[in-house]
Amino acid sequence: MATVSFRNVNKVYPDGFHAVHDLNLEVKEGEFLVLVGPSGCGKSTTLRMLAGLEEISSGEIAIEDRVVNAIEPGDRDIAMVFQNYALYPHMSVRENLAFGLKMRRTPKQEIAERTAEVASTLGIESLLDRRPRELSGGQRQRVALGRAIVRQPKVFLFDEPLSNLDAKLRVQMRAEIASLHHRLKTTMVYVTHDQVEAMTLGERIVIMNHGRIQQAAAPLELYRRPANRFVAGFIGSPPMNFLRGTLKDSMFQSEGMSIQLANVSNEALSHEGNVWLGFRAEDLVLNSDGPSLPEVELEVVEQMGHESIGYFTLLGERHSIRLPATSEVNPGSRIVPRLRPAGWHLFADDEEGCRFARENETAQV
Amino acid sequence: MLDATRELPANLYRRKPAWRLLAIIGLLITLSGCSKQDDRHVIQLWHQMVVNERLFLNELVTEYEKQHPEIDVRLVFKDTEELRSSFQAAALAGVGPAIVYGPSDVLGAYHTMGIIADMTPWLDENARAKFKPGGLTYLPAKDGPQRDDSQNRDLVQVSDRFGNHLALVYNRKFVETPPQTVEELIEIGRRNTLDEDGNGRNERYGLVWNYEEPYFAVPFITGSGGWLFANEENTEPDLDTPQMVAALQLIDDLQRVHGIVPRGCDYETADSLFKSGNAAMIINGDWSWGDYLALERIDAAIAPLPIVTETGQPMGPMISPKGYSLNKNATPAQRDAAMQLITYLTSESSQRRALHSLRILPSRTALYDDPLLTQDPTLKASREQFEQGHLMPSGSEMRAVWDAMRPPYQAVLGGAISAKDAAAAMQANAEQAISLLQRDDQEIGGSWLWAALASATTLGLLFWQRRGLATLLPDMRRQPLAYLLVGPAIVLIFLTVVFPFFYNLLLSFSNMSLTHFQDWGFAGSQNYIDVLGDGQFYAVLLKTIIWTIVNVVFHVGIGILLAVALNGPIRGKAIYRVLLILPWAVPAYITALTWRSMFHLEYGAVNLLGNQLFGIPPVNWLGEATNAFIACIIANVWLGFPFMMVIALGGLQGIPQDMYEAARIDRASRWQQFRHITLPLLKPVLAPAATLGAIWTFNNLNVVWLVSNGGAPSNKTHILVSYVYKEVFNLYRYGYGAALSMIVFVILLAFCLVFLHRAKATENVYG
Repeated sequence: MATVSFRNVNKVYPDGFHAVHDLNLEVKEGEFLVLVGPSGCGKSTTLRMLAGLEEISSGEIAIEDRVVNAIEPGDRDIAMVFQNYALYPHMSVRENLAFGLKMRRTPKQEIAERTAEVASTLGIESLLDRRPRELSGGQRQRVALGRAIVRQPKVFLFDEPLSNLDAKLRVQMRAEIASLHHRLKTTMVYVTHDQVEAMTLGERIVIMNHGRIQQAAAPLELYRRPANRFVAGFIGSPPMNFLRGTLKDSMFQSEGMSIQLANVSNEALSHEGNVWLGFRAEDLVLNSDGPSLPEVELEVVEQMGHESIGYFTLLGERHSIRLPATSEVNPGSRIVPRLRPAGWHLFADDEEGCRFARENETAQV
Repeated sequence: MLDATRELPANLYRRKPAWRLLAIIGLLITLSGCSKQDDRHVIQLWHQMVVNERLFLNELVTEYEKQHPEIDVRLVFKDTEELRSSFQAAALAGVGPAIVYGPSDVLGAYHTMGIIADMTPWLDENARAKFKPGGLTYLPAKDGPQRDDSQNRDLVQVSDRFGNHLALVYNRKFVETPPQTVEELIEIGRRNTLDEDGNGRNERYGLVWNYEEPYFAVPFITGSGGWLFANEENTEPDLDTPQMVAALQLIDDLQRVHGIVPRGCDYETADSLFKSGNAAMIINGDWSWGDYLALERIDAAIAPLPIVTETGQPMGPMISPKGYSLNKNATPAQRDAAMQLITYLTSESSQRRALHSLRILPSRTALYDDPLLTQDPTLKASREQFEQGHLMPSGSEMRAVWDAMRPPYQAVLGGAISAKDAAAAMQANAEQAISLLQRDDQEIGGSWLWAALASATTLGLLFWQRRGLATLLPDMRRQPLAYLLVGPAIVLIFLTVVFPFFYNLLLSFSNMSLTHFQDWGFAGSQNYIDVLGDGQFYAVLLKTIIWTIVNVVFHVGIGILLAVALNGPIRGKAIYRVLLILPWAVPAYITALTWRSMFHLEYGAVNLLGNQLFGIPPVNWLGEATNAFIACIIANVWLGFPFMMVIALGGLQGIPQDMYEAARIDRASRWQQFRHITLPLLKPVLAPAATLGAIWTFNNLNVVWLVSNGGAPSNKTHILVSYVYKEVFNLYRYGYGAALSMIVFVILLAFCLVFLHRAKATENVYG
């Protein structure tokens, strides 16, 4: 178990591409930290710099207070699980598990014990003598996990480990990784582009975009108080609905439509120029007192069983509304969605798109 | 049930084109048969004349055709060796040209094979008397009925010229008057052997010649009063004589004692030294004089070879007539027409024209009065030399004697044995070679037993594959177009692979040889017994295995090393890649010959660089057996590594990068990554490539043959295929050669099966 610190870390590729900008991040001991973001956001580069597979252009990375910038990957006491498993195809599962220990000149007896232990933990005892190509995707992933665990490293690194699995297996493996962390309590840094994976696994999530950290926070915090419009749009399914307009006093106005908001902060009120009004699907309700949106026609209704998601178009944009399973609406139904009192967010209409907190927000969380 | 495919529209277009294609092929065949009919009498003439001679022959023939409109002469040029082998092959098949033109040394073999006809009936006593001795070549009649002329011999060649004789060519810039005696030769040689800058290497040599070939030793032997055969018919070798010892001693002394001849002097070295003005004198044949005389850099002149003082005998070279022979397969009408043409081509007027335009020595006595022969200094010297010359025997024994002489001769010059021992070895070799050549393996009975065995095996194979065969016919009926389309390929493979293989198999059980060229028959397993009972075979096999292993190890090793280096992040990768593939892109024979010259004892780059950069004393690469073998290996390693490098490079690029990343995290060092990741993951591509490489190397004739110049020194550098080549083509032992190659085939087949199985090379490592 160890802490990991990124201090002013930059990565500039020889072709001039600035992949990671001034990254500052502390991973706490035993923490499960997820790096998430769209492809090309710099999350994998960050992880690979931590692993030592990618050189750092400037700044420093420390593992347990030891700066590792110039330390070989094998000497950083980390283990990594790759997206494509990266199992050695010409070795049996047993040899794959043992390889790292063998390279570290671990006594044979100990290698055998640890391999057996890990195999039983992961339920792959029966596969030990097989070659990777004789395994299914899930089994391979398990072996890759085993190869990391058997080394008992200070930090586990995961580079999109589940993206090659089918949906069902992904859910299953997700749970296994979570329970693994619970059991081992080792520091883990996990990279994914899948926000569901991030939300379900991470104790803390770091959202990245264009090589910069957008927000680093616990999952619910991210969900409830996204730092900016990017985070708000990235986290949550279906994504947050947005309307672009102006704010006059506490009245949000957009193309002839106006919504009265309560508890708008002074910061928001004093903002000059356009703002974005964001609200999640569950913040729209049908029978309530909140400020109403114009009457709209439902175009699509997705039945989920425990609830339905309805889609409608407002001001040229597609929006979603979460409906209880009991509501009897169909495509074509006309509805008047209302906004829950604290169910909205205001963002500046600029490059950063920062969120304006509501007046009484801290009390609500 | 109805044939379901009949319902398919696809069947329609599948069938029709099949018949259409057949119709087109049929039409083409018909058309080709309708080409313009030529009712002229066609006479084919195969020859090996060089360009200017060819043009002259063309001129003569064109005139002849004008005078004889009913005759159409077709001239076909082939290189000497190719002419020999293709004429033999054609004649064996019962066809071939009516006339074949060439030197007389192959006549013995042709005649023993029974592929050339006696020309006596067309030349009467009177006509024959017009030729100089040797101008007409006779050989003892091969069985057949006794003829009227009591001589009982066949006229096998009517020549139109003499040539191939060696003489002394000297550079007048260094030599004023050519030497009359060997003493003078040595004296002039000494004066002209100079180390001007005192670096231990001579800038000029007194005398050069190709002393790897015994043909060039003949003047020394005749000058010492000896000859190669004991009897007049030139069938009994006589090599272990004091004269031979004296001749070998003299040659060796010129190099070792007098130091006027460079060491390691082959034809090319001698030729280029003389041409570049770095040698005062050269002994070379009439074919080369034109080049020397034309060179302005040197002032060349021809003189007869000197006299050996001890014996008072002139150093007489061999001379051989070149002329026309008649194919035994020619029809009587063709023979008449062909002989008429030969008479014209060898007539006095034709030869006089040849004398004046080509400056060659005629074969008719009358022409020796021509003033040109005394006016032209070159022709004058050539004639003088010719008069001291000795006719080259045309029997097949001559070839055996050359083969017998070469190894001991080279060994003497390399300092490996004494002249006395060499002479004795030559005689022993010659007797053995001639007995092999004349060996008359009789057909044996019991061929029906073998035929039955072969039939049973074939039937067994067919029975084993009965399922495939059973579905073949219906399948052919269902897919006629498909079979029609693969048909040509199948026919081609049958003709070029299947048929030759079985023909070779058949030959390996036959007594086909010089004595049974056309009438060969079944000889049981005699050839296999001969091969496997020969100690030489095992020695060569061992050497071949060493050759193969060493080569393949270096090919693969260097290939992987360079591929790994090229695969890394280095500047100018593309340039290195092209440079490293270059050895492969250059034709192998050019590379081999280049290496041969680089290994030259005195002028080769290897010794020069080794000496100047590292102070290594010169190594006699090509003159010493082990060194020559190492030289062959070095040349072949150079030739072979690029292929493995390309294969390994491809394999490396197929290894996923994250393997290495995982290994780095597993704390594998560079070497461990190479050992545990790169090597095992390269195996699937390299194992088949190495197998192929082993087969190619095992069968690599060119490099061994060219670098070591046909197994020199002393036949010590042979690998199996060059050994087979030599055995078969020099001594006409076709059955024996076929058996040898079948054994080579079995060895390679076994190797491939075992190696590929062991390496699990066909297994895919990735999922």
